[in-house]
Amino acid sequence: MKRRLDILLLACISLLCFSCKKFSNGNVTEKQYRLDTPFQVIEMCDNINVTLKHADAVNPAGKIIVKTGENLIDQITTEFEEHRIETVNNEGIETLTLNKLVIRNENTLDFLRPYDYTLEMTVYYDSLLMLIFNSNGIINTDTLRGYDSWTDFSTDSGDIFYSLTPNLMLEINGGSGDFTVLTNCYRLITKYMMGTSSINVKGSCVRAETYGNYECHGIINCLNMESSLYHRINYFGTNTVYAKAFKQIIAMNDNIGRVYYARYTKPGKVIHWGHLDPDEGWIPSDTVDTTYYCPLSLIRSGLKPENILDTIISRP
Amino acid sequence: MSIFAVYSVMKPTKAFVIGILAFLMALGSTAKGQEFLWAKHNNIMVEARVHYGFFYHHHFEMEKFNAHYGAIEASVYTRTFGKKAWEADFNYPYIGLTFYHSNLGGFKELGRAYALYPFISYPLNNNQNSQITFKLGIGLGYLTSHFEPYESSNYYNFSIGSHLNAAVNLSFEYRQRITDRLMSVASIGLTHFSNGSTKLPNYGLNTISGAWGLAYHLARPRGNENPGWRPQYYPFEFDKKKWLSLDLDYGIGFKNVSQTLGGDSAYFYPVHDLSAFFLGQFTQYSRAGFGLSLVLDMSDQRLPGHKLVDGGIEVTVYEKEGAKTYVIQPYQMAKLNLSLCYSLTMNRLSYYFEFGWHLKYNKFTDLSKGNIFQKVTARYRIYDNIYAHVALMTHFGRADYLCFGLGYRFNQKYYLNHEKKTRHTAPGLH
Repeated sequence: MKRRLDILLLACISLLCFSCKKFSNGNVTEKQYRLDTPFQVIEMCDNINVTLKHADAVNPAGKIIVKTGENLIDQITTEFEEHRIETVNNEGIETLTLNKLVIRNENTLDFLRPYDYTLEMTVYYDSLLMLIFNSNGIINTDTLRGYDSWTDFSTDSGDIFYSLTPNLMLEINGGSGDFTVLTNCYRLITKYMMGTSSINVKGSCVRAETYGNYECHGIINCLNMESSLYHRINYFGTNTVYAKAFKQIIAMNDNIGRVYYARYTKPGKVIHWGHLDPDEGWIPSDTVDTTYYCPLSLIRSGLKPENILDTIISRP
Repeated sequence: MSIFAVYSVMKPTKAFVIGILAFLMALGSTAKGQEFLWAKHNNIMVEARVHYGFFYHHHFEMEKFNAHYGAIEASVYTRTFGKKAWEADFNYPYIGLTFYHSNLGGFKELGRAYALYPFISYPLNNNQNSQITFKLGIGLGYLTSHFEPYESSNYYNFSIGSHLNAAVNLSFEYRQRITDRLMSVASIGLTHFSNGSTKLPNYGLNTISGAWGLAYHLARPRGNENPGWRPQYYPFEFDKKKWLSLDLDYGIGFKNVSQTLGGDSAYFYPVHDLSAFFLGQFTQYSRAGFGLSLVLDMSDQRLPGHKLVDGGIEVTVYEKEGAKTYVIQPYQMAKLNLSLCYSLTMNRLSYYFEFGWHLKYNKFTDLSKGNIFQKVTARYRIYDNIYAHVALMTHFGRADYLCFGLGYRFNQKYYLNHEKKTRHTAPGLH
């Protein structure tokens, strides 16, 4: 019995020693390829650091550059899936079927290899409607214009009509990777469902909508994004949202998280700061003269943001 | 390999690790040193180990903190020698106390870990020179960093919600005798830190590590008392009676949800757990049966979609007709549970392992953690049929609550029908 145990122990140690070379990451190498299928949605998974760049004459849409260890590179995969979203237009609800590019790291047994290694991917795109984050990697983009899709507008008489505008949706379904998104679109929708990622959104848009779920633990920083019409925030998370809008900010907060905002009197100058506390309600800073805080009941009533503003202003 | 790995990863503690190992080796080379009477009487051993391992994270988000890192542990224990019958029946287990320390990979968000836990290590084979053992240790752990909301960088660490935690160690060990008093110990195992959801968030921190160390008998080891000298013990043979038991107990746990769902940071919501177990004994140390429990977790009133109002809790329930809002009382959120149960008894201490289902009690019951649960309970018989217990309720490794309580056992003797006929009938009396 003793001899058997000794042999078993020796075998285990030998296996570990001889497998060390096999379970290294290898020298950093680069691979380039091109995807022929156009895509409008990108889902980033696992721990890949992704850079999104707009396609040009030299780098066409669909070009992918992967940079990582030679033993890992074959398991960094890209594949296409169907992604359906419902949009509303003048004729009713329409289901839009889009191509989703899913980026994954399918390497396994990570604990047998060193954890500090290069894992980068650059993706060239043409037009994007949606970015889905489920990643522990760092993500950077150049200026995203968005994808033309339906946006609702209301007239003075209360009629609603729809128009095609460049819209961008950010959906964070999990992960802890921090990322920065540059955008220049009409409507920006950020949906933070779960995770500890910190989001930094920069650029400009006309209408911004941000939703943070209960398991959203990261910071949403939109201070460097100028919303020329409004920024509507619906936040249940445990961290902080920073927002800035030229005309109006509507915030709802139903948890321990905080919403800070900044407004302009003229572009580029921040003059007002406030803090939305779940227990105390809206706590403006000393310099605030006009703030728009929308109670939960008003949001639930389904009023359009423009009408909510009127309601609050008309309140005694 | 592990010593050098630890040497490179844990520079502040390298001198300590090497010092302990050198000390034990020196003791081993002077095996005929002074013997302490108390150590001889209790078969006391001391041990030092170095670990090298990695994290096994429950949640994808925590994989941000992946690293290989070291740990050290020092233990004092007794190798049982048959003083009580159960010791011989369990192959003379090792019982003692372990101190554990790790820098958890050097991440400032995770901090450092310290633990002090009692353990029992069961030999799985009979060979005294070359043994495989299974170590089970449960005690207290202290982590220097934990989750903090808002802008501190510690919102990344949502595995641990408080400094004070439970520390659990499960390891398979290989013990090889080198001299009469010196023993080499290699192990592979899991060390888990969690506060049992007393303060959320609490997904728990798991490390898997291989370890090597030396153990030393402070006095010349005692020989095992031969269990063959004791009368063979047949538990049920006398009159073929069997035992059924009904155990009734009540436990209370506490939960603080201020870091995730708001509320007073100093307020702990109570969790009430009322249980009944129906068990039958099938070996000298083992019993099995089923359990029913009623659990009322008062922190459920802070769940999303729940709001405290005058006269109760406002709950939004999604039904076929659409969302409806009700005002209910807290007791209406209680859960009824059914479980299969197995228990293992050693002297006054018993372990209970349950695998069960939340039966949906009504539409206000929160089943967001899943329908299936696992529960581990340690019981200590205080007096006669009265026992104290500590129980941990989990949903596939995710702790729900930790509770402490008291209970009472009702024993019922019974006979099977075909055995009853022949009972107490002496030959020649017919």
